[in-house]
Amino acid sequence: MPLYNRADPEILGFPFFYWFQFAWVPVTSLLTYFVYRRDKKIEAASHVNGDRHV
Amino acid sequence: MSEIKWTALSVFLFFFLLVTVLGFVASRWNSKDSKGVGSTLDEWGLGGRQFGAWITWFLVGGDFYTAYTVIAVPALVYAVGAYGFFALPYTILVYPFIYKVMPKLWQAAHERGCVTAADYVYDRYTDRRLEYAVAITGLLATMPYIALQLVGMEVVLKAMGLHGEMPLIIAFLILAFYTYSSGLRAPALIAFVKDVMIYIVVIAAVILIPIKLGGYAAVFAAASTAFASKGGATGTLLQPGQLLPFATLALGSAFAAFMYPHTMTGVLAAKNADVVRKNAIFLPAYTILLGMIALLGLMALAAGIKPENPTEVVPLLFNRIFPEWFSGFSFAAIAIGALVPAAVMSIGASSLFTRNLWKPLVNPNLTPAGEAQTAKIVSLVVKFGALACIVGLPTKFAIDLQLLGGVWMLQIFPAVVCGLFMKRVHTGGLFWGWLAGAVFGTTLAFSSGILKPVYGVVIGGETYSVYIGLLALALNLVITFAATVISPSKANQSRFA
Repeated sequence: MPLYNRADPEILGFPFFYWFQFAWVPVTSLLTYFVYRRDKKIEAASHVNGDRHV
Repeated sequence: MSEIKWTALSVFLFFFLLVTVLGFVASRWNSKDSKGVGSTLDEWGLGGRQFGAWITWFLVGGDFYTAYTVIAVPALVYAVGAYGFFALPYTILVYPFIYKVMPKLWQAAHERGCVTAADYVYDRYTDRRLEYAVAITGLLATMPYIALQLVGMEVVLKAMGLHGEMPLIIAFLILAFYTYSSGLRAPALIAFVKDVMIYIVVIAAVILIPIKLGGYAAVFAAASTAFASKGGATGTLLQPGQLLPFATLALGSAFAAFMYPHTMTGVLAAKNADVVRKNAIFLPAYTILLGMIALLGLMALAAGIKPENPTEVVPLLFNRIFPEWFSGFSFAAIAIGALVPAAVMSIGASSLFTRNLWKPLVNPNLTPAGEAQTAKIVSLVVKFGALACIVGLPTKFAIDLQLLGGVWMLQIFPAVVCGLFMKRVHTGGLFWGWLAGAVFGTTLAFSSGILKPVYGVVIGGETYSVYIGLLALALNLVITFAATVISPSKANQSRFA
């Protein structure tokens, strides 16, 4: 938390506190997407092997 | 302020009429059952469980980010600055949680025909006490939330010069009737219009307003100066004592968010678990929107807006900056933004009441058709209750109840989430944990004389202010786990394992 509670560096007039938090939104979205892709692969693999998907 | 703005009002009425028509047309939309959308609770309350990724995205986005959010978040940022931005990390943290938990819950609910969280809890633990606990918590937390949607609507009506309670009552009557006839399909269809309008308004606002105020750097500088002269725990950065409250409020709110009946309803109405997962990826788009909405509070401060009441900052800012027709468009977006969550909330609340209180306690022989009919009538009662609350009681009552509602909602978290991930959970532990958490949280909230969301925990002479909901949840979890460890014989086996 104290990590991002500061004003500098600024981007486009936005203090660090603001743009840093905005930046986390696409990052979270992307990370979730990677996990989703991995989960899909695991699911597909378990179907091929005929395993019961847990 | 008191003169009616006819241009704005005409634009407003045009869009309001459009969604009213949509609300009634929705009753014919894609019903699998030839008897129509009102035939069962699955059809009326969950839209037939057939919503794909896009409809779910609009629906959940439309009912999670409510009209009250659009009014209250900038009002808080206007009043205190950076602290009000806890809404941003809150709505970031919530998505990994949704990805992990909600598809599992969807699967369990789908397999067992559960319509509500309390249905799932009863099915999982076969314990009526827990079912009632979850249902009562959901009802208590949702009622004030519906009332606050009305506050959002009231503020924009006032900004167009419409005073008194009549316009509000008419708007709510219309809402009540199309929800009655179309069920969840009405807000799902209206959410398209609402969300597109809100995106247009907010994008226009975050581009146009800073241009008029000399750019973002100027906005932040002016807001900073304004906070400095105001003093107290305000500023464009967090004050030292605000770090922990900021973080714990964000985390606690994220855990509570999808325990609410309205968000739960949006998730359970999805077609399959994959739709829920995809939405965990794409719903954060609304978080960007929310962040921009929060910035409006700083812009209002920089523009020198001086409202009688902070809830008026957004409408006053729009009236100042936008041409009148676009103000009307913006106000329509906010008012329609109140209709979608109010409809979903009343549907979620009436499903809980019907299936988890009325049926087991009063009428065990209720047929599926009888369930749907009861829920439809209850949805009317719930909305009129909320209306009476706003017309008859001070707004502060609803705001306070909503704050407490968040604390209570967190206390059903163990019952809902532990059951999905743990084979054995002690049912009594969950129940007493829920009760202890709710009582403890409520007591702490009132401990300083006035209702507050944070409590100062003293450890070794240092005071740490933490969100009360999380403290209560900690107690709740300790009781649940202690009971599960001490008395494993009474802990039950999952029926889904």
